[in-house]
Amino acid sequence: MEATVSQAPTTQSDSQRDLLVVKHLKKYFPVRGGLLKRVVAQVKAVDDISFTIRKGETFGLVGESGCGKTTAGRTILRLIEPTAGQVFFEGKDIAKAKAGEMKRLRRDMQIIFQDPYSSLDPRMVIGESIAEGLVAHGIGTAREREQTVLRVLRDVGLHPEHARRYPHEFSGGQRQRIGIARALALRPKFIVCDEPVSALDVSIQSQVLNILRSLQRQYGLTYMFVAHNLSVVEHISDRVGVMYLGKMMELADREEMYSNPLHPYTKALMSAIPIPDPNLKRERIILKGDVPSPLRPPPGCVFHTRCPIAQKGLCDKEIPAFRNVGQTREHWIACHLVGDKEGN
Amino acid sequence: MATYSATAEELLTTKQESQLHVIWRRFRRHKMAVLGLVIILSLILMGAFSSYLTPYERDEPTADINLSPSGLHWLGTDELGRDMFTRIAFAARISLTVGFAVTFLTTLIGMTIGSVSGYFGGWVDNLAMRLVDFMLTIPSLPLLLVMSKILSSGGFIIQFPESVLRFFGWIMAVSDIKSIQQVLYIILILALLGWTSEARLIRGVILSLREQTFTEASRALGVSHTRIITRHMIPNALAPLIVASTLSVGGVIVVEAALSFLGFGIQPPIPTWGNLLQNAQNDLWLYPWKALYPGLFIFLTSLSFNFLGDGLRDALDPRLKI
Repeated sequence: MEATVSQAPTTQSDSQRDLLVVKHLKKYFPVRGGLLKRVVAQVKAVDDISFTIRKGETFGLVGESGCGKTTAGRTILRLIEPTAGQVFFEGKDIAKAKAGEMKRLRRDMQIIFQDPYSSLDPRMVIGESIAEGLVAHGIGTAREREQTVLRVLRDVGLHPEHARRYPHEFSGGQRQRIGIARALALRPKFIVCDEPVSALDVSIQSQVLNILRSLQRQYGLTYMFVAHNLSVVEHISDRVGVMYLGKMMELADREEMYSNPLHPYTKALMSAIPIPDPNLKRERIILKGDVPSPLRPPPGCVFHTRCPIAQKGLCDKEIPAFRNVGQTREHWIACHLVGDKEGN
Repeated sequence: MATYSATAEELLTTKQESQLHVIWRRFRRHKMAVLGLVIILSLILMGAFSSYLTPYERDEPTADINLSPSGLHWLGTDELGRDMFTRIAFAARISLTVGFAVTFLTTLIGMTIGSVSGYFGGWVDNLAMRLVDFMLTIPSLPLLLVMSKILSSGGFIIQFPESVLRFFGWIMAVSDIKSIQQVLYIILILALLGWTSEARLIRGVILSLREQTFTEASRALGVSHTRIITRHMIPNALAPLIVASTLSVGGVIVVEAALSFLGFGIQPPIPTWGNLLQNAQNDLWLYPWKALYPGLFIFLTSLSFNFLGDGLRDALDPRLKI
């Protein structure tokens, strides 16, 4: 029943080009029940996904809520222990790193959270929150740490005097910038942005996105951008992966993905992006039914229960391989029925 | 630009001092809390200067027995003719010492066990909470009686360090080593039985705190568990902890009183508010002030600590506007 992924979605793992290589990553959450609290079932939040993230790029990961994209982000940083699989960061397997090694790795990989309210300790002035990573790693003297705090505050467009204030004195957008500053203080190479703008006002969203972009240039950052908003992902990403029910469905360059989506699920998603023009009509692909429970994912292709083109006997039996169907550029999909004919 | 960053640096370096200042300013606005603090401080002062406040000896019997309050004997005298106010003032030393010491210990034990249990969860949590359950199933009063009997009968002797004995003797103005030891036993017994509620309280708060994203953020930064517990978990759990601790001071004084009342606590002639109260019950209807005044002091202490706790909780919470 193992999905037949022959290789990670790059022909070879190229250490010059790739910062992060994820191979067959799985995270199952046990469901305990009964009198003895035995494991009665497993939620397959992330079920065998593989992809690479290249140095300096923004990798967008989209999918509807509950598809496992946030879990994927946290498992990659090992904030959640993976059930199986490997995550190579600059060639080192994070999933196997020991505590001391993991701590060193944390300097290079940071995370920005979705909820700007609960992600800051209400009892700590933000200067202290931002300096926390520096203190934990014993970087610099108290004075140097202060300088760093002031610098990152300026970088995210906040004032130095804000360092002494408490989180409740800030707006949502400002707090999100504080969260970014905290992640930046350690000068990481890689940041997982876990829906960093979905809790914000639309007007603030672009502000924060622009800050993220300019910081990427300034600090040479690599992002993994987890989101459910396709327009935001299109705006910021270089490559995009689409997840559904713990599986990667499609992965391609941004232009390729948005101009030539192949997977029926991606097509349906794309048709749901609102167009800001009332006269323009587009054919919407409305999916039937709901997302099945990740407790009992459908056999075969997990999408076949809702797929408009699913074939009986094939899609509900066999798990589609995640394969590259692009000719000039990479274009990975997990579908039995599309790709071969249409592949350009 | 240069002046701008200079002021910013100045702001950063003066942080520590001003934060305490801010807390004090916020606390001051809480009128009842300030009143509570004043009462507690006066009680402490009353205890500290108890030997200078009245011309009477604490344990010296006189012929003036059971006098009602007057200019000479502010709170009357007891059945041996000892001045009630003198005894109550001295008792403040012992009762407050027991109250503070026990609360300090229970808070320390409860905070440690509760925060470790709540933060790590799993088998650590299970073990700690079963221990708490076990402690709570023991009827505490009989156990207190048995333990104090064993300890005070000399069947089991804990060797306290000389310095501890001298320190407590000095605070309580008691010179007799055996009596000091007895007070220390009572403190230990009450502390060992009293930490469970605090542990449960802290555990509950921390269970919800550790699910907050800022805990995850700290882990992502590489902050150690110890530091997360001490810098994030406990400061955020401080509000209920302070309230519980301040409530506990009053409660401990009452429990000590109950023990003394049953004859297992600190024994006369050393006065505590508890044994003064007990002493008064024989002729309660004839000389009610003998019970009224010690009771009043217990009540006053308990109430003041509650107000103080309220004020501190509000002052320590930066989110609250007062």
